[in-house]
Amino acid sequence: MTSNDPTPQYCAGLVRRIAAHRDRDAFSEIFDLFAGRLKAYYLRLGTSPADAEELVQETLVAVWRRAGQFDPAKAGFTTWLFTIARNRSIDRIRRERRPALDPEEPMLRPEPETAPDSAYEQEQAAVKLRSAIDDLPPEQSELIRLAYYEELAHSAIAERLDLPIGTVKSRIRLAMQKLRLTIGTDA
Amino acid sequence: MKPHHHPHDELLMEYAAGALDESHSLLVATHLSFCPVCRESVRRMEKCGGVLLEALDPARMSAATKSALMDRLDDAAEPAPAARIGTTPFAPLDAYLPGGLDSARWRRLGRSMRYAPLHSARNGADAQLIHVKAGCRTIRHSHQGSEWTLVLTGAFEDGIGRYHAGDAIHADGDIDHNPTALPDADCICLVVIDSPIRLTGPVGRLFNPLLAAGF
Repeated sequence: MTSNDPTPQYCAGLVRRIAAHRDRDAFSEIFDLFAGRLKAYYLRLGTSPADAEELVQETLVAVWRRAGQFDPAKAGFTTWLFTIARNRSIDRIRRERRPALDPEEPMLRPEPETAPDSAYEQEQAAVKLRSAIDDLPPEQSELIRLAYYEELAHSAIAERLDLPIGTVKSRIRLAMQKLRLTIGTDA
Repeated sequence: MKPHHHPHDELLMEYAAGALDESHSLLVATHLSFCPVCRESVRRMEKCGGVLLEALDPARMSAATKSALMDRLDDAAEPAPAARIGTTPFAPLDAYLPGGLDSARWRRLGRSMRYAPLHSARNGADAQLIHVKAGCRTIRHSHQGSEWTLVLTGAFEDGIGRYHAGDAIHADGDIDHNPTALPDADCICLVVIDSPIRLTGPVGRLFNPLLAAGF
């Protein structure tokens, strides 16, 4: 990421323009900003370059068609985009269903008791999370990346890295604590 | 009432990352329908996915893709999804039980129990429903792999604790247990196992060949 990267507010504005006016220039900007990243995501999941580009197109068509459903109070644009791409990879690459709370909605809503974050707070939270990921010790960040970028379950990660599954689990738990991804349900 | 027993955080992260097989995803998603705490954890984990997507070095797109994509765009916006017409009280289960809980392929297992297979994932994880009559004991069994149980209706106890609707309980090879439904109501659970269970009681052993054929 560079300092020229678009802010979540800016991306949300682009999606709003698509929703309101079917604005092709706004869509073109989203393509320029995210198509290459989406392609990198699909390539890491083991698709051919041609298939990856097809999946990028399908993902961005979904952004075009569902723009009216995007709600920046629920989550930032990149979170929304990630959930669409993730669900597409399960459907098209693994050919499995993805059971979800609301099958029509790729992204979870914030709980009513937690006030929706302002765009500014979301931006700050994303910056913090990004630097927390950068600060993880390499043996922890590697596991997070294998889970998200290669969709490897912990048993598969353990096999790949030739580590005991208990070691993989405890490293991932440490990483999740540092990134504040959980709110401590394990009793 | 909010659940007291939750899927392990690693399972939630696999679900958010897209790494979890379908059978376990069904269990996690159904737990989420009960549990605001885990919903919030998964939401944070999805945010992490967004940050990681943004952090990827872009791959080069071929020159023709963008214009081909712009040509594909039409003016049709996808209509907002209609309200769910549930076949079961648990949204994630609807796709597996289009005719509701009664339409499951129930098979008897002794006098007080029945089970119905829901899904077999490619990695061997099986999701099934187990229905135990109120106050009745299940068949005593132990596990070779891991077993996740999510209580859907009713409640049961297993000598270690009491579990109510929404609770997700983990058992592995170390546990040889004999859960019993509480007397007030029948207990229906969603169970996901990695490998076939072994029935360890004297009567249960008779069922092992049946299970091997059925699962």
